[in-house]
Order: sequence, then structure tokens, then C-alpha cells
Amino acid sequence: MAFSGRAGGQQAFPASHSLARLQAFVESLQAGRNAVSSAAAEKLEVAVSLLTMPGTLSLEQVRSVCFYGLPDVTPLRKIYWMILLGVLSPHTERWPDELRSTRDKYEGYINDCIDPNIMQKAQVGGPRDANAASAHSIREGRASLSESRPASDHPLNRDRQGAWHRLFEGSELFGTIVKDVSRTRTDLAFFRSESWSLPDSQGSANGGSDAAADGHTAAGTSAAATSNGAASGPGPVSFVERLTRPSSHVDRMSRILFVYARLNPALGYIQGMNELLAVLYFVVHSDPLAHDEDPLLLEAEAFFLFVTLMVHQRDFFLALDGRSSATLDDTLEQYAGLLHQRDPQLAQHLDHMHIEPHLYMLRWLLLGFSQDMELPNVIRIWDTILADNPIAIPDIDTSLQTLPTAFYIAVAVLRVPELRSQLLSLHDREEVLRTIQHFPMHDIQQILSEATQIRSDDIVARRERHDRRQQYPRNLERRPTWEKAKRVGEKIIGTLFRG
Amino acid sequence: MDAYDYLFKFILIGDSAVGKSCILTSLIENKFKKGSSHTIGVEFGSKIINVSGKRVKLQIWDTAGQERYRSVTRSYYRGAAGALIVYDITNRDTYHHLINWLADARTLARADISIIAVGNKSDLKDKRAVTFLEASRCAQENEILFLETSALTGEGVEEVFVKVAKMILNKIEDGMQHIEEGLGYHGLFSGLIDPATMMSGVHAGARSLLNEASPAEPASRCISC
Ligand SMILES: Nc1nc2c(ncn2[C@@H]2O[C@H](COP(=O)(O)OP(=O)(O)OP(=O)(O)O)[C@@H](O)[C@H]2O)c(=O)[nH]1
Ligand SMILES: [Mg+2]
Repeated sequence: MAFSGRAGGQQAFPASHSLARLQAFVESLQAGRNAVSSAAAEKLEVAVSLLTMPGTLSLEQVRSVCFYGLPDVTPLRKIYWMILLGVLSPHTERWPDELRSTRDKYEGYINDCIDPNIMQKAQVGGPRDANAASAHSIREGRASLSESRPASDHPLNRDRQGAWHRLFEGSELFGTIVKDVSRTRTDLAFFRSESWSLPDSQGSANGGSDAAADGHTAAGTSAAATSNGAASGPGPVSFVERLTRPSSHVDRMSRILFVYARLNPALGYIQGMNELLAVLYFVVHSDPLAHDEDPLLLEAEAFFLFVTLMVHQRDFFLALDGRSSATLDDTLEQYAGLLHQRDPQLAQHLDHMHIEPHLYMLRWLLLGFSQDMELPNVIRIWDTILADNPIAIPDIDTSLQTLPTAFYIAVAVLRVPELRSQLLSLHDREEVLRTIQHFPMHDIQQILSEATQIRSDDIVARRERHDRRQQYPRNLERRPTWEKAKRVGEKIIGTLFRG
Repeated sequence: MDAYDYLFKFILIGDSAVGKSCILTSLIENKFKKGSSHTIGVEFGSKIINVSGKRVKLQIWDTAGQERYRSVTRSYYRGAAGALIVYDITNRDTYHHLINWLADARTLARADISIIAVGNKSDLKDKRAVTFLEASRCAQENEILFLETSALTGEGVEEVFVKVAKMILNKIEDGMQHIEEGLGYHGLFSGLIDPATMMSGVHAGARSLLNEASPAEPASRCISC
């Protein structure tokens, strides 16, 4: 079978990896510097020079560059996001290895999860091929990575269930995923290019690498139609075939979600994951340098970005099943308090209408606002969200930690004057909810600067609360004893005088 | 504020991708929304329709169909006066699940909830997998209403809502359905519901007080009933 053939013959990793490409790209930009505005050029300079500094990167600096928005030179964004989420380490010299390992690991997972020979193997019971085994050898995975994929979570457990059963299950899961992925962000041509074929690493065998790798146009269609006629037509293509030989972005995104669901049976696939992935996948692929990059590497990058993002989103998705975490409940409560502090009038109005935060926050939090904004705005807002590092004031009391940035953004959205005044004028509960849910979040700069302000005010407030608490415990200790002594004393005096 | 005689709460339930959100958009905006994404949690819509000479404001809660959202969406059933259980006529599985949705609606909404089974995507004639006859028999056996719709062409969409509203109105006139007041909210993450504040799903409107001051907005689509 074609797929196992490719997996077996370990391809030489392309020498030119993303960083080398980035450097070349930056040089070309610097050559034509006058084309960019001075502010943008400065931003670019800062962002690039940080990455190209020798030695270990300062995560703090990476965060602060990203927090205020990255320049829209996409290979930069991809690299920054990979650092922030922990896919790449701060040690730039390790990146080539790390990227290669990303690709290898992902390929191993695919083999394990899809396994086109699943039936044969179940019958023969032979040893797994070397490549599948390599998926288990985790090379110095960082905490976030290994945490999200404990060894026991591994789906390759053919002994427990029959191969046929798994195959059936797999096709059902894949069908569900495809249905959602093919209606994700269809407003963008990039995601609609159902029939467009990416040159697979398999493609080198049939000269596929010259098929135009431009997702924004359907330029590659004619080449794709001949080499991948089965997938582009409406005819039924077996899910294994689609998984092993993806022929479109829809197929590749579906494969990522499929592999993720298989690796994380506790969570599986849940609607909304497709929306999160779409943002990451787009960022990875909209890199102008991505076109002649190994498509499997790009897919692997998107996969690991997704896996690490899900570490943060997990709680929200688990809450859907009623597996609500105390942290989430607590965070929502803190959010409500914050809204009251910031805008008592609006908060009281919403309280009065019984508009609990979770009623409108669910979608925002689950999807990181990705269904509520245009994609460029989503990407910009994610720069800030991903750069977020909850500021922990050194204390065991977690209530002193700042909230995840999405919560500050949520307050900021409600504070947009247009929406706010509209909400205050409404007195019908469903109208209020509808208005919030359908509010077009266009003015991203306004929302972000308000959110940043709210956040820094909150940090100050939390510090003050912390300081007050530092003194308060002593009072607490003194007061009960004193009170008790007084009560005892009064009692004694009382008996004395009565007696 | 629009004047109305009654306010009914409706829920739109059924499997994912059967076209619930498209039906809602078709009703409210008279157009087919292409390329829409799946619903996360619950969305709302409202519209005033004329039923038997009465102005009825429908407050429609469109829910997410995926199983994993069930515990979120279920908390919105409480007190609904009407339910549309939607399936896709080109997908038998969604039809088979109708019975589960029915059980859900009857146990979680109110005992006297008025229900209609809706076979959507009737425009896809050559892909039909569920016949009109079998579905209408099934509906009869389960004592619910039945209609087919196409959110794409708009066919049957308004009729579905009118039919259910009419049924509720009849119940009210027969004195079977009580009109209650009160506004409630339901815990989403906790799944806790406070029965004391639950919503009745049917409210008398304030038309008599308001009709002079605020002329009602004319219904955008003519209803024949
Ligand atoms: N041909 C045809 N397609 C339809 C019709 N109604 C909906 N669709 C399509 O069916 C798909 C799903 O529609 P939605 O309205 O999003 O489905 P839903 O039931 O709200 O799905 P969830 O929100 O996931 O529960 C979309 O791709 C629509 O374009 C219809 O009447 N005819
Ligand atoms: Mg929907």
C-alpha cells in the first residue's frame, strides 16, 4: 500500500527548514525595506532580531513582543506561536531537530491511528513496523507535550477491541469530523479548496511537487484532478484512503482532528475543535514560504500547535459534559466580580435580566472568539491570548492570579460603547443574549486596548488585595482570642456581681 | 417594543447538521444562510407571527445537535411550550434518533409540550432516504405533528412554526395550558436548575396596553391560516 511504503522509506528531511527560510525571507524584506511603513518595519525588526539572537530566547521577551501583536509576516507568527505554546523550545539551535522530530512523531501517530493494514495485522498478528514503534520513543518532550499524551492514552490497543470494530468506529468518527471541517470558515477560499491537491511527500514519486501549491487559488486543480481523481469527485472514497492520502486542506485538517481524537479518547472529537484548528492551520499554511515546504511537516506543525493549545482549552471542553472543574467555576465567578467592578451599571443590568456570564461566554471561551470575528482579527487577538502568562503573585492563594486574557477581552467586548448602550436599552432577556451573541466584533484595537487596561488595573487591584491580606491574618488571630477573653471575663464579672 | 398577545418559547432540537439553524434563519430573515458553522451551545431568535387572529411572539432557542453539547443544551429545554425535532430526509440515522429527541423533550421540557417532527432538506429529492409516509406514520404513533421543510427554498418553514403555535393556542383556549409569569435562568456549567425560577414558556403579552402606542411590525411573510 502506498502509505506504508512511504512510511517505511524514511525520506531525507528537507535541509531548508523554517528558520533558514525565515532568515532568507527577512533578508529579502530588509532589502526592500522602504516598501514597509516605518512603524511596521520597526515592529518587524524587533520581532525578527529577537528570534535571530544567538543562544537561548527569553520567553518573557517573546511574550511581550507577541502580546502587542505580531507584524503580519506570517512565518514569524507561526514560529512565535510555536514557542509560546511549547512546540519549539527557547533554544534556537535545537529547532531543526525539534521540527524534524515533530514531523516524525506525527507520522508515527498517523500510522498508529489509521493503520491501513489494520485487518491484515489483526489476522497475522505480526510485529509492528519500525516506524510505528518509533512513535513511542518520545524524544525529550516538554512538559506540555508529554502531559497531553500520556502513554496509557495511546489508542493502539487492538487487543481490547476487534479490528473490525475499530475500523467501523474510525469511519464513523472520521465522517463526523469531515462533516464539520467541510463547513468550517467556508467564507475563505483557502478552506473551500476541496478539490485542490497538496503535493504529498508521496507526490515526489509522480512528480507532484510541481503541482501549484497555492491554496488561495484553484490553480492546482487540473494536476490534482488527474492524480487524485478519486478524492476530488463526489464518489465514495473510503475513509482510510482519505486519511492515508489526503488530497485537500479539508482532508488534512480532518486527519489532524482524527489523530487527536484517537490519542485523547477521554476528550475525543468535540465540535469547536475544528474552529480552533482552522486558525492554527491557516497560520501555518498562509506563510508565503509554505508553498514548497513539505506538506507533512506543515501538517505536523499544525497538529502540535493544536495539541498544545488544547492543553489550555481542555477545561472548557470538559465542562460541556458537566465535568466542570472547580477552577472554571471559580474563574467565572471572578469574571462576574470583575465586570461588576469595571461597569457596575451594566453588570447590574445583566444580573437583573438573569444573564449569567456562561450564557454568552461559552462560545467565546471554547473557540477563542474564532466564530465571532473575521479571521485576521481572530489571529491578532490570539497573539495576545497566547502570549498571556497569568501573573502569579507569589502566594499560595490562586485567587491572586490574573484571569486568562480571554476573560478580560470578554469584559472589553461588553464595554464597546455601541454594544453597551444597546444592551442597556434592552429589557428582554433573549434580546439581550441575541444582541451579545450577534455583535460583530470589528473594532479589534478598541477591544484589545480596553482589555489590556482592564487587565493591568486588575493586577493592581489583586496586588492591593494581597497586601491587605498579608496584614489581615494577624488581626484575625488576635481578634477571636481577645473576644473570647472578653466574653469569659464578662461572664466571670456577671456571676460575681449577681452572686 | 413589539406588541403581541402571547409569547411562546420554542426549542429547535435534532442531530447535528440536519439544518436547525438554517430553518431559524429562513424563518427570521427569509433567506438561506450558506456556509454557516455548527452551533455552539444555544442561539436565540424571535419573531412575531399571526395565528388565528392572534399575534404570537415566538422566542426560539436553537440548540447544538452534537451529543457532546447535550448537557449544555438540555438545560434550556425547561419550560418550552413547543419543540421542533428536526431530522434530515437524506440521512436515515438522523430520523432514527428522532425517538431519542422526543423522549428528551418530553422529560425535560413540560409535560404538555407541543411537538412537531420536521423532515428538512425536502429540496434534495433524489437523495431522499426517509419517505414522507413512514415519517408521518411514526409521528402519528407518537402523537406529534409532522411536516417536511426546505430551509433552502423556504418551503414549509413558516407553516411548521404556525402549526405548533396553533396547537398551543388551542390548548390555551381549552384551558389545558396554564399561563404563568416569571423569568428564569438555568445553570449551564453546573447543570443545576432552580425550579422556583423556571420559565413557563408561555406568557400573556401586553398588547392591550401597548397597541396604541407602538404599532405592531407587519409580519414579513404572509401566513394563511
Ligand atoms: N439542500 C439543503 N441543505 C440544507 C438545508 N438546510 C440546511 N442545509 C445544509 O445543511 C448543513 C447544516 O445546516 P445547519 O443549519 O448548520 O445544521 P444544524 O442542525 O443547525 O447543525 P448543528 O448546529 O451542528 O446542530 C448546512 O451545510 C446547510 O447548508 C435544506 O433545506 N436543504
Ligand atoms: Mg445549528
